[in-house]
Amino acid sequence: MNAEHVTLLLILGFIAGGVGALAGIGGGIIITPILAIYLGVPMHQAIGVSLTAVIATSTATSSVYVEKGLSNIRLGMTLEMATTIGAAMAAIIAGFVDRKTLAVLFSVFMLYTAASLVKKAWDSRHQKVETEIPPYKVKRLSAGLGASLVAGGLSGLLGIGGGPIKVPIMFLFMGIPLRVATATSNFMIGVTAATSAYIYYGRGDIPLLVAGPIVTGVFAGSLISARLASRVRTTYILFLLVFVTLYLAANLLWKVWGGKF
Amino acid sequence: MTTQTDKQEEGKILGWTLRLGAYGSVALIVLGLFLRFAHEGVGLGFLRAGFLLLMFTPAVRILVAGIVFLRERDYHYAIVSAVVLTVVVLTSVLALVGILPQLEK
Repeated sequence: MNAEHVTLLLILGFIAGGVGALAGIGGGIIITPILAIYLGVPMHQAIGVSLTAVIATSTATSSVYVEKGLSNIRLGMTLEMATTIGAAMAAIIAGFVDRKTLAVLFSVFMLYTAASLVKKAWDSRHQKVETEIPPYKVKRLSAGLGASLVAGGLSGLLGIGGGPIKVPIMFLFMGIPLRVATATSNFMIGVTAATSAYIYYGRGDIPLLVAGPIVTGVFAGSLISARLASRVRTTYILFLLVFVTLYLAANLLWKVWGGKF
Repeated sequence: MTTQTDKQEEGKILGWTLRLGAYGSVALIVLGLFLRFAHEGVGLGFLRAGFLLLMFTPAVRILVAGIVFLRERDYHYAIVSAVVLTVVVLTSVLALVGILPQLEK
C-alpha cells in the first residue's frame, strides 16, 4: 500500500460516487467488481469496502433530502425494522458463502441493475420533474416490509444499498410518489448498510487502508455531482452506466468461469 | 397529532445529525490517511475513529429520531425507533465484541 494506490482508489471512488449520484444509484455496483476483478481485493473485503462507501453517500445525501422534507421519516423507520434484520442475517450468512458464489450472485444483481437502469433511461427521455409532491397515502405496508427484508438481505450479502428493489416497490405497490420513494430509500440505506458493516468489520472484512480513500473519493464525487444533477441530462449517463455495469458483470463471470477468481 | 412545523423541525434536527456525522467521519478518515503516509505508523487511530463514527452515525440518527418522537408524544414511532435501535445496537455489540466472527470458525 503506497501513495499511488491511495491516489488510484481515490479516483475510482470519485468517479463511482459521481456517476452513481448522477444516475441515482450508489457507487457500490461499480466499486465492488473493480476492486475484486482488477485490484486483487478478496470478494468479501470488496463488499465490506463498498458497504462503508454506501453509508457515506447515503448519510451525506439523505441529510439534504431529510431537511427538504422529501424523505418520509416515519415510513422509512418502519421499514428499517425489516431492512436491519435482513441485513444482519445476510451479513452473517455471507461469512459462510464462498467467494465464487458471492461473485456470481453479485453479477446477477448487476444484470438486474442494468435492466432497471435501461428502464430508467428510457423513461427519462421525456419525463417532467415532479416539482410538487402530490398528497399520498401509504398502502400495502406488509408488502413493503417484506420487500424491505429482502432489500436488507441483499445489502448485507452484496454490500449494495438496495435502492433498485425498494424504490419500485414503494412507487408501484405502496402508492408513494417517485421522488419521495427515492429519498426515503436513501434515508434507510445508511442504517441498513451500517448494520451489516458492523459484522464485516468484526470479521476483519473492512480493510481500512482500501476503504479510506474509496470513502473519501465517493463522498467528494457524490457531493459534487449532487450539485450538477439538475443541470446535466441523465439519459446518456444512464446508458453509459448500463454498458459499464454489463461489461463488469461479464468480466466477473468470465473470471469465475475461468477459475481465476 | 404531528403538525407541519413538527415535521420541519424533525427534518432539521435529523439533517444536521447526519451532516455532522458524514463530514466529521470523512474529515477523520482524510486526516488519518494523510498522517499514515506522512509519518509511517501514525494515523491508523484517526482512520479507525473515522470509520467508527461513520458506522455509528446511523445509530445516533435513530436515537435522535426516537427522542424527537418522544418529545412530540408520538409514542407509536418512538417504539418503532426503539425496535430499530435495539436491532442495530445488538448487532454492533455482538459483531464488534467478537461473538459473531467466532461463529464462522
